[in-house]
Amino acid sequence: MLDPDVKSVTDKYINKKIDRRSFLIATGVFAGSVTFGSLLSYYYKNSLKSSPFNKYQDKILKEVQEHLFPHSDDSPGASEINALHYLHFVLTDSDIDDDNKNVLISGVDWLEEECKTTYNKSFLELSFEEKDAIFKDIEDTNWGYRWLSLNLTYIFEALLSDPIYGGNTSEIGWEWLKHTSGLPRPTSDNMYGKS
Amino acid sequence: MNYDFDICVIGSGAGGGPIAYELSKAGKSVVVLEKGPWFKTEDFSKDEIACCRRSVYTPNLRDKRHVIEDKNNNDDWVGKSTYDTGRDFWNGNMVGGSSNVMSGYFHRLKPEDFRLLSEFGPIEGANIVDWPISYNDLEPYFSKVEKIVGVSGKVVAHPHLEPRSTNDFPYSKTAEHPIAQHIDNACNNLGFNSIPTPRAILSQNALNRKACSYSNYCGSYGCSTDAKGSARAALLNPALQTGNCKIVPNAMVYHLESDNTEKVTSADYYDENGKSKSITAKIFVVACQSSESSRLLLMSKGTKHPNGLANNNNQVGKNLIYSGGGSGTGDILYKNYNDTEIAQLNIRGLFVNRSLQDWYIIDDKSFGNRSKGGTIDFLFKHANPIAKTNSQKWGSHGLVWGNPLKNKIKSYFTEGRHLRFEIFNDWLPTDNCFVTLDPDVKDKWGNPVARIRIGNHPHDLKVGNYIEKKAVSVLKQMGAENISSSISESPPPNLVAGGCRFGDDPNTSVLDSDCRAHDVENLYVTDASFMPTGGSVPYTWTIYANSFRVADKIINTL
Repeated sequence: MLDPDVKSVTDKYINKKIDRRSFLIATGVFAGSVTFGSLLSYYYKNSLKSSPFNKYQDKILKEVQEHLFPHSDDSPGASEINALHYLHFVLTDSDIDDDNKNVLISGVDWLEEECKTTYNKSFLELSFEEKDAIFKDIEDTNWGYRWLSLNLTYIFEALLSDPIYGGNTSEIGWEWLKHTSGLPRPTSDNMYGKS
Repeated sequence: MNYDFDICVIGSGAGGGPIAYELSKAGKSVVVLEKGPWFKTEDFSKDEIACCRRSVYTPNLRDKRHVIEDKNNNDDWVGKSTYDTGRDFWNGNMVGGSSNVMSGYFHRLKPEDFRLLSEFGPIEGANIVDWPISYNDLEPYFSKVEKIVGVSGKVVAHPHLEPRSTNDFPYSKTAEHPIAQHIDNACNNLGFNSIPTPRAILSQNALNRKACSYSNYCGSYGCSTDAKGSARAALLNPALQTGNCKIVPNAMVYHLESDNTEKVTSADYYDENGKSKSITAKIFVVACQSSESSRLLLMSKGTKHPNGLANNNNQVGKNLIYSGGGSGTGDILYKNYNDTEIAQLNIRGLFVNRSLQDWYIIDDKSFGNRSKGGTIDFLFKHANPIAKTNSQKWGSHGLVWGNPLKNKIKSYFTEGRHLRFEIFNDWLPTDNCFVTLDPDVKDKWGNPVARIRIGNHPHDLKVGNYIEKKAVSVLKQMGAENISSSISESPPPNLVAGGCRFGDDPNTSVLDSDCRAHDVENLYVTDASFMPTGGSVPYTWTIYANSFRVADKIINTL
């Protein structure tokens, strides 16, 4: 909420919808903070150089993103807008909330656990219908709702942010939605994270 | 005593800018302490990530937050930290303040706004008072802002046109989108008086600034041509050129030291490295945006000010106000237009610039007694494609993904335009809207954060609902589809005023009619804090005008 002459609810507020405190209590993040904290510090140490996920998790995430935002004849899918690479960029950003990073990272393993419990299979082995069903199942949980919602948000950022941030390959997202970018566009001198 | 500066201004936005401009031009030495960074024009681009998706223009809530007190289901006031809720109450924290990122919808107050109590009578549960000054006292300064900050527009007669000392605006109106004609036609058919919205945006090169480039990324973004009349481009840059003005960015003032004569002696602040520093001056001007100005005064306890500076009558932080009203949208769908019309509707960058003030005063028996009403502004939603897409992820039964999501997004972006209206009406001052210091929650320096109770008055909703029907009727007349609107009890954090209202009686106000603290001889407050009632327009023009007025008062004392 920046513009002093226009009324709008902050996008950040809409994004969250769930109160952080009730979310943390519901998901046991307070109780499990040692595990999460150490997990996070491990990722922070390594995040700038490499993906915060191992190869298997990356593979799952790629499938997750493509299921959330599939390719179609007239529109790009998650992989075409470089959504996974963009998510790595998000996870190295100190501005992003630690709890959201926790959810984004841990959600991959939690999803796998759900798939194993429900189907005795990895997410990678699920049919289209099973993937849909498991997403609907986890959407009813606090963590699952938040994880899916965050993943969608960062897919949208990959789709429509300036290509300087690594998504929106060759402006494919803008082209799909007939969106004209504003001028001047960000440069390597004034892009976010440069100061 | 030797002073570091004649004037120390705390906060560099619309409240601080005119003081720095006028006093430095008058040959006085001025220092401006700004808690945010100093972005220059070339630092701004039309980058949604920097502007609106990350904490660049506002603090990260990890470091600095508020506690907001809202009513729960049991009607109890419950405070929640904005870090916990994500409900961000910051606006623009940078040199020039949030005026950098405003849209610049500029309407003057009207004479009745200065005498709400005597004009319309009391309303139970509302602390309505008349202002200690009249429209005539402020009119010359509204005119001054038109010239110095730069307001573009065209005066058109309508029932509630305020008196003007000049015939028209000094700058011709900004270029208009073809949809303005559709709005005018609809209003004509309905018997409404649509008027061009004045904008604090230069329509031509002037004042050593370039004209608007119509980039389509205006509100929420810094201006890349300096056409927008931010305090930074319009006032601080010229102030710097006098050689009498110094701006210190990343300077978080946490305490104003006062002495036994009740005067302020120094401003204590943390610099960008977290080191505490101090500046002395003859006169101090606080303009940190309402809730933070009250917070600073409350934090500045002294021997003669045990409850906080200027707070010997326990008035600081009280009668905080926002802007009542709400907003709505309607879809102007291309399927209802021919190719030529579609091409026109699809133009980006030009401004809608239409307002209605026919109900600035409501004189309608079906409403009740003659009453203060409000303003309707029409606009397109901000360009921000990520925010727009993100709002598409919720369907009627939770999240949407896959092809249904993609179809929804594509339809939203390509099948028409989304015309929006916003309603501005008074947020009446009450005992349930105020700022205090939170007893527990601290900022990253260990200082208590502002705790804000955000109660509104039911009358505000009644007025908003009345005007909403008029706005919706325009959208319907235009043939808009999927019309939705709401009048909100929740305050828009960017439209805040009050907390240190001015008045003649020290028992019921913080500042005198010159915006000087009743009980602190060398302390002024020049942001929107001074306003006892808010009027029914966005605040920025009034803040600028009043700050120019106070600058003259200060010059007279030196």
